[in-house]
Amino acid sequence: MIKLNNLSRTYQTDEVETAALSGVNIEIEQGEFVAIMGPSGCGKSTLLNILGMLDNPSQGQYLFSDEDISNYSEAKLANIRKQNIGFIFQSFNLIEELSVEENIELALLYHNIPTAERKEKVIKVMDKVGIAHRAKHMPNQLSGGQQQRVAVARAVVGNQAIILADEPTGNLDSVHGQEVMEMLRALNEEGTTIIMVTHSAAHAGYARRTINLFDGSVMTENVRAA
Amino acid sequence: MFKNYFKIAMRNLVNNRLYSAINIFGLAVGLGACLLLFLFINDETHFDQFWTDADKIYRAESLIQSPGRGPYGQGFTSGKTRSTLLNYFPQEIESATRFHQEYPIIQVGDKVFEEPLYLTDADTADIFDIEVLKGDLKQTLSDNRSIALSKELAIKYYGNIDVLGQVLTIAQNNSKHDYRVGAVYKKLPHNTVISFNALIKINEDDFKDQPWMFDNWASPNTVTYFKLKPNVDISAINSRLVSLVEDNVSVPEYWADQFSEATEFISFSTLPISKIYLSYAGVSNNITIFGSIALLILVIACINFTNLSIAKSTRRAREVAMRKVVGASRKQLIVQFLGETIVIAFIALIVGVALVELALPAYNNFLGRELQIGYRDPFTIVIMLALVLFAGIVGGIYPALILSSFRPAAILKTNKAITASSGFTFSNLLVIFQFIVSISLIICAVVMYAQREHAANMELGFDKDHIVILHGVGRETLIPRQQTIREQLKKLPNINSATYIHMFPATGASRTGTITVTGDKNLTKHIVAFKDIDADYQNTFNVKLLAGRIFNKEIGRDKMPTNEQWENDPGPFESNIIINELAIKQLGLGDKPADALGKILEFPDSKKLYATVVGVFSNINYRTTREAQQPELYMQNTAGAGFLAVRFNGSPIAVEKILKDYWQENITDVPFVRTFVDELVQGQFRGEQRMSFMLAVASSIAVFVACMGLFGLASFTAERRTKEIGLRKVMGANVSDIVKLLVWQFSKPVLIASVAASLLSFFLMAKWLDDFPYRIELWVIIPICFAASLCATLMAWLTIGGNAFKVARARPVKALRTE
Ligand SMILES: Nc1ncnc2c1ncn2[C@@H]1O[C@H](COP(=O)(O)OP(=O)(O)O)[C@@H](O)[C@H]1O
Ligand SMILES: [Mg+2]
Repeated sequence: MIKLNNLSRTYQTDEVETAALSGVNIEIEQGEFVAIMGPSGCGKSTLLNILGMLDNPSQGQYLFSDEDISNYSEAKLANIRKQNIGFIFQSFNLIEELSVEENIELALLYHNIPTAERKEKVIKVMDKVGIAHRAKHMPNQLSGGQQQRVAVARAVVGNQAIILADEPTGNLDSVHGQEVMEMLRALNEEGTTIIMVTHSAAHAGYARRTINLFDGSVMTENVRAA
Repeated sequence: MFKNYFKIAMRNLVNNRLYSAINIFGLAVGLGACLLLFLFINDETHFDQFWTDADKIYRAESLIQSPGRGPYGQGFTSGKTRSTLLNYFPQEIESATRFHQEYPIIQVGDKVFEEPLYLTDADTADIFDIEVLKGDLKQTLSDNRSIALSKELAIKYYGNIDVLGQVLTIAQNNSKHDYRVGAVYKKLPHNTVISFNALIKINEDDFKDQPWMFDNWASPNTVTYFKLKPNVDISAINSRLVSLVEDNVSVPEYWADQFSEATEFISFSTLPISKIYLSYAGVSNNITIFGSIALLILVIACINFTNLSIAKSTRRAREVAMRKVVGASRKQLIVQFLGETIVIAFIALIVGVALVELALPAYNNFLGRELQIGYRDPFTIVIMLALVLFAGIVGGIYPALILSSFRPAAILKTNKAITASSGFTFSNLLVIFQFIVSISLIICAVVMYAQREHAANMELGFDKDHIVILHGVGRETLIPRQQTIREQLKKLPNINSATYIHMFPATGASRTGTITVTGDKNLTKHIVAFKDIDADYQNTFNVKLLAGRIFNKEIGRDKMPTNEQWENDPGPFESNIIINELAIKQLGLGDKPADALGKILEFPDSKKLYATVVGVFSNINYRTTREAQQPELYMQNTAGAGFLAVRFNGSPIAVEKILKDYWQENITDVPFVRTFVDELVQGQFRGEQRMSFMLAVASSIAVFVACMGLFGLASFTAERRTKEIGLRKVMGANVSDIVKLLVWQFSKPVLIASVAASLLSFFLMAKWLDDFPYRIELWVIIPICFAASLCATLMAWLTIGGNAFKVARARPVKALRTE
């Protein structure tokens, strides 16, 4: 489903060139649960952004469903992205002015779905992540764990095939972190492909495969026996 | 302390360049517009204050009650007033002078001119400090046959001002006299109500045959000014004006049966010279309107301040919190923030003054004045500082209160920026207000323009573009030649017809009186307008004869009794008249024009006149489109007509040359002076023209300033929303979704303002139009409202669209990284 061939990303800042990723080769099949680990600044977020089509690689190939999208325009990427990919962020990134249900609905807003159908989907997904009783609350009235559940709901409400999670448990205590991981596992078991950045070895343990990054390159890949 | 505030203020200015630029430039434009309007208002309110004795000079006013006509007089007084005042108040009045205007023919060498000339008394030289360039003004005005010329007139007549002793001839009142130039003076500035090209002494002996001119209390023909002695209060005069009448005035013979006491028909009052201009119709009205516009523009500019500060407050929340933590009181913070806005306002004033200096030449040209910023005038300085304080405080007070009320714990604890959502709606309200004002100003400007165009170009019923009026035909030497001149003119190419008239068309002049209809049992008195015409009136003014016939020179009854007959014959008199359609209706003479024929109208004077209707004319708008048409009575009477209205075809320029050539060949003692009726009509609407132009400029400035504010607000909001926008893009929003989102956010207030402004202006303008008998249809205002709203909305979209597009195109990763 996803195939990166010799992919690199360099940042040009004030005459200094930083290679955030260099020569990365990764292949991810549909339905996989992949964890990405590595020290701070090694390029995990950069990799995830490129996988999520929020950023273009500087070099190399990105094959998405056998289509080379590495040089696609922003608008074209946006189109593929909104059909296929959901995001979960470390800092939740909920919009403060919108209520829980409105935040979730946001993910459907740009998909040409009729209002009634949108509402129905939102209600369903809120039930699924156990936040239905907080539907009308504003984000700042929720705990961190609850906020991240909203974020998970938002990532999956559109039935996205792939979820990219950048340190989804980074801002949560262990109990709430555990909850989020359980949710991700459940999603994966339903067939959603999950790619997650984490610092926690325990949480990486939920994944079938762990990719270790160091200084922009893949160092090792461990596959856990089923 | 203040040094610290100032430093912070300056750093803030430099660090927030966009914010500073918008605030300073927007406010500078607003302050500049205010200053320009202030200069105008200041000028309007300071007429006649430059005279050395300005506070001692007064104008005598008289009010005369007359039977059958409203009270009249006002600024004019009888020629007897001066001497009476001087005799009655020897302790109080130092000197007094009169002005009386004549339009004599002045002959200089072999050239003749028709020139406005003021007759006055020698005291003029004492009361008004007129700068004399040559000769002696007092001496000139003490001599019966001397004249004082303005510098401009001396140059017009002689080419230079070394003209003392030159002799010119003035023809007036059936007599001709030579005058010696005795003085040349500098033209008076524009800001006075008195102005004169040339002065000669009032020689009452020259008016022996016109006793009403200077010797009749009921005939106010002169303007009388007097100057108080030192340390005299005007109340000493005012309190004795009634007894002045009792002691000096008697009821004129012809009113003896109407009034028993002189105080019943005449009263006097006084007006300081500096108040005269303000008492003119429309002046104080204009001052109010322009003052309000200045204030509105200022408020619009101040709103930018408020809104941008509110938008920026999120950025400064942390600074405020820290200051509070280290012990700043709320009061200190308020002072700090107000100080900042005042500093910005001061910088804006400097920029604004520079803008005003750039705009002044065009502004002066437009107003026909020589306005300047009085940098040394304490009042101007005070006004400018007041503007700065006003702008600083009005613009800064709300954000200062909001910012200083932030609770430090709330800000420092969480990472989140405060989103002042109450401030956001307040900002929206202010934006709505800005656009209500801007859009209303546009609508008013356009409606006024449309009304002016409509009224100035409407068909008056007599094809105004092809009539020219010749002056001077009522001069003594030309009266006997009137019929010949007319016949000769009619033979010239392009000239169709010509009629002698007493009153100009298109100036609003009219003579009214009351009549009754014979046989009317109620003896209802009808007010109608009288017009003296001759047989050519119909052709010249394109009037249609709807029934009956026009006047015939050969039929005696077609003529009015002459003045002589009127005075010597006891009456009753009989004559034929023509009336217009409106008169039929008003007098109830029938349904069709023909019904009126043969009806008899009575003039309820002491001497009876029975007038039989022999013809009916169609209505034409002889006066102005400012007034409704009147019922009119036409009588054949050419005696005393001063003008000849000439109907022509073809180009006015060619016709003017034909007429001028004719005139110069045949008439040497009267100058050729002409007026095109079309120009008269246009001139009637100069006030509206000026007003709609000023409003157009004001509304452009208002829209510009409001859009600057909107731009700033949009930039800040977009900045505040970057994260949200990034997130929406991650969720699949494309560029146009985001642009729509941002543009819509600011379209809402503009649309609300459009609706409010349209309603407001519709009623305002409907009321304004009410004063015009011939006005544009009210529904015309509706498309104007739409156009103005559309225009403002487009401007707003243009303003915020570019920025929104830029924001929307940014890559979402960037937005999400900013944490
Ligand atoms: N927009 C950017 N401009 C310049 N350098 C960047 C940018 N984003 C990331 N980097 C650099 O690229 C490297 C990888 O960053 P990142 O992918 O955020 O690391 P991680 O998520 O593993 O902590 C770092 O050295 C970082 O400084
Ligand atoms: Mg990271």
